[in-house]
Amino acid sequence: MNNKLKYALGLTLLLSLNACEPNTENIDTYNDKGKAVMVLDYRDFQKAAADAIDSMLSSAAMQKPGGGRYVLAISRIINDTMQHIDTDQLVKKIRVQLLNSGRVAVTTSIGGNGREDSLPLDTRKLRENDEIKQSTIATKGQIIAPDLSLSGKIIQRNIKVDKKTLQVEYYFQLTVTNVNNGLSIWEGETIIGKRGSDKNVSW
Amino acid sequence: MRYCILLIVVFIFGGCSQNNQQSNVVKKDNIRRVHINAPSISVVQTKVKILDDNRVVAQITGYNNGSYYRLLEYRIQWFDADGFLISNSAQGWRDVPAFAKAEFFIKSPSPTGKGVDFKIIIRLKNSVEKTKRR
Repeated sequence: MNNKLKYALGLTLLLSLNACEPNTENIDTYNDKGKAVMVLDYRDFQKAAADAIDSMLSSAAMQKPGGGRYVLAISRIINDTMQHIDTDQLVKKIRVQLLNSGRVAVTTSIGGNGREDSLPLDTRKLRENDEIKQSTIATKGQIIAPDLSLSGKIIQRNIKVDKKTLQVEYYFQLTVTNVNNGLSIWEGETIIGKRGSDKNVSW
Repeated sequence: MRYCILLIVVFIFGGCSQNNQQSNVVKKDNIRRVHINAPSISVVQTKVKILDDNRVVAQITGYNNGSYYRLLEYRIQWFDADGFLISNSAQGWRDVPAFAKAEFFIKSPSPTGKGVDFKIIIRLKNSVEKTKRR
């Protein structure tokens, strides 16, 4: 076999291997017919959040008697799965919708995992600073304490169905508690189940 | 005979009496805003309920005339009084099970208090969409 033929074969092999790679394309998030995956993807968070929002907005529990808005603080959302999840993927969707609904205002100055935004309190430290126009600094007693707190948990259970099949169950559990009396006023759970090859790692 | 006539009169007037219970459920006969893209699926009724804070909750009752269970999905869009679309970040396709020869229900609240009208599309979950070739 001469050199030219070797190069030609090598080039053909290289081209054919390249052709096997899937092309990169943007996901149509409005109509995604892509295959399900064993781990949690954005569709699962979307479903869990939409279920929670529908239930919250249909319920009178989140409706402040006499009108106005409840102030909601985000408490702890525990990730009890084997995956590295930023629970904001779930919480942010719920917050945005609740805020837009006009029923709830979310505080970022008080939260279960510390303050989400420290600036409102930090600016108060400037009260003694002569460089700052004092009349522009917030006066005392302006930050509003929460009426409600949102807490929750995401749980994962792996069940071996047979030698080759694995069932993964995800539970999205959320609770809204009345901070004043400690009673839960709304609770919701969405279950997402996946069954597939146990070779697909779900963590 | 007198008793019979009296009984009939009582029934007639009883039928005319108004229900004192105030209901905030409105039946909407206009179901032109429901688009179905699934065989054997029909819409039986569309109801709208107004909550105390004027938020509207819609309930669509559908029926699966087929002999097989079908997993459907729906997408609902809400409009304000001026006909403008209310943006909804959680808007997406939602699943709804339709068992054979049985009713199914879709319940959706308006995302804001401004929502007064809605448009819903129902389709098969795993339907393959045909695309036109140019």
